[in-house]
Amino acid sequence: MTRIPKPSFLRRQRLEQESLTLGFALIMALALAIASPAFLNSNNLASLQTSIAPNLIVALGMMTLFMIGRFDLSVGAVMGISGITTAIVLDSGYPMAVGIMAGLATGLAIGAFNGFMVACLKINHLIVTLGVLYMTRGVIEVIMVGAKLAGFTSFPPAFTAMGQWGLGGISGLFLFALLLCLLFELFLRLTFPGRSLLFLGGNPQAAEATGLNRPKIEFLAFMLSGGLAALAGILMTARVGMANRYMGEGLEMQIFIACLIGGGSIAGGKGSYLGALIGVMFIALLTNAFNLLTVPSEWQAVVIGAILVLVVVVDAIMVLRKSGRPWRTLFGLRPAHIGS
Amino acid sequence: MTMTDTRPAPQDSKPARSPGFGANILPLAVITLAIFAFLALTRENFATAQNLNSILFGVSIDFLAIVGFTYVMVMREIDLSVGSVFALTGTLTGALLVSGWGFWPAAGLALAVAAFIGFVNGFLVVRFNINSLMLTIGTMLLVRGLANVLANGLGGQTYPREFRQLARTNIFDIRLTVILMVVLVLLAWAFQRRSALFRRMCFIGENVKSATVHGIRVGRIRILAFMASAMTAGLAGIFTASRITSADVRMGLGLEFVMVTAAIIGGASLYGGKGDLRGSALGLLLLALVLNGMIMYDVEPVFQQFVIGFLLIVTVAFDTVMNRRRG
Repeated sequence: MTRIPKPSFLRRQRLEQESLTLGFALIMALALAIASPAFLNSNNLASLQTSIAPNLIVALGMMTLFMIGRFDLSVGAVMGISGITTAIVLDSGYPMAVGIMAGLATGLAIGAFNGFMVACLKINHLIVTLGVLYMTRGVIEVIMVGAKLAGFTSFPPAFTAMGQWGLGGISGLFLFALLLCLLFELFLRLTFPGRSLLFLGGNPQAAEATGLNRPKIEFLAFMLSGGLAALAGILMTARVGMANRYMGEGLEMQIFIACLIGGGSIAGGKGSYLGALIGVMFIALLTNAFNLLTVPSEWQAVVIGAILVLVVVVDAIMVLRKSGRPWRTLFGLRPAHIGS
Repeated sequence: MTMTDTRPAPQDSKPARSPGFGANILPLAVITLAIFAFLALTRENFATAQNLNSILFGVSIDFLAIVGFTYVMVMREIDLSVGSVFALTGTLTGALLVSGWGFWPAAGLALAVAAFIGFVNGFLVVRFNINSLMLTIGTMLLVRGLANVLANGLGGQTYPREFRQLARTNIFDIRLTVILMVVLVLLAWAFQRRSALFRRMCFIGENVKSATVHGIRVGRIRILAFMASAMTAGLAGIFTASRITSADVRMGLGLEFVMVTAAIIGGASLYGGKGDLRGSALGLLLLALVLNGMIMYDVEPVFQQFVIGFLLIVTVAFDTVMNRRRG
């Protein structure tokens, strides 16, 4: 009998793509530190943390959906409307807890709607969450008709303090997001429900045959995504002290790409929360690089789109490789029946 | 004017020899007419020649873009990059004209770029078996970025006068694009009834594997459909650029989702195997009437976004439920 070689550590932990992205992120950080003296400036590092923290919280929800082969494009809009809801409730004089609960409830309700449409009515998740994105943005516009561009800006001091606290130069929000990410990772690796997420995404039929309730898990995952997006929106509102119609605009694509390059796959059954962190870091560094090197913002969309196309193509090639197609037929250098 | 557009529809659906094919054109036409009649009776400034003209003009331009899109949907693929290709082609034509090119070389180059984008989409989908939804989201972002780079480079410059006149070309007092739409609908009718290619496309949409086994050149047809989708979107983009007279970063934003909605209203399905250009045209007309009606009733314009999202979900939900019952 030939001995089956033991797979490497990274492969065993399913962290191959994560480590690759981490490598790229580190190289980029190093290059930035050399190319631009402003990169290691404390202001810049603080702004990096502020951009990573909410994105990471949203990405945790998105990654959960990615694992079961779904995604949620409404997160940016949910983030915006939750911040605005909290701001309105606080503005009319209610205590802070009520405001935060109202914001979270909005996000959970939208998540539940998404979940109901996808899990119970089996409607394509792209269309549902996209429709919800449009509807939510429409509602935001209607709420903010006649409001100033800056939106709501006066908050109780306790609320802004929640967004502003920090430990020796490290933002509290950032620490909170990291802690949340750690908890999710432990949940994924150590508990049965966590493992079953990947099982469900990897082989839905087998998972359902062993008794996993797919609709229920999908529904809960969409609620989780909505709730986390709402949480990020509320924290962001507290951090910047503003709730306006621009919050979270275009965020869904950034998170989506972060999850993809952080090891997720649209087909499901892949991914880890650590990967979400690394992917979000990568995107944040990329945006930061554009800002530091003063590249016009239109080129950012070009580069992000190109990265998405590249990642999708590489993902597809990997899937084909897994099904046993040799490289030479994959790239069409030789017809399939001659090769292999 | 509107009569020329709606009259052919009931005639077309009469010979219902193949059950299910084109069967929803008649009810759709009735609904569209009902909304039209409702608006015409309740709002006196709706049924003015000017308003109807502008609705029909807008629909006829969008219609050009939905031609290829519908046939991509027939094959159970989707092309979300149409809105961006639409913007890029229009802006590129304008930018080339501003820098002194002639109209035909400029439009030709822009359409070639569109065809290239369509080819890349189709090639990657076919070669690497990629989910077209995912891939075209990527190309959507990429191409949109390029279009914005061009638009910002132009600033607010207006296009040359001859180009601005293009969309306003009239033949016998009817806009060129409206005539084009009528001709294309008639051609599509013939294509869908007579052509083996359309039957093959439906076959591919219903069951790719079986279509491959039966010797249909699936890859070639798919790539051609993606190219057609990008080129028709590009054509519509050129007319739109001519209509709006200057570079605009918001051009064609969200167009792809209006098209998905219109195509599904018109009888296409996310699950492939179906699709009807006549229906897609009626779907676009229906959406345009609804949005115009909202303006007539003084609904906040920002609420339109909400309605588009709502209609998208409702039509797709309907499509999904119908499909489950059939399967």
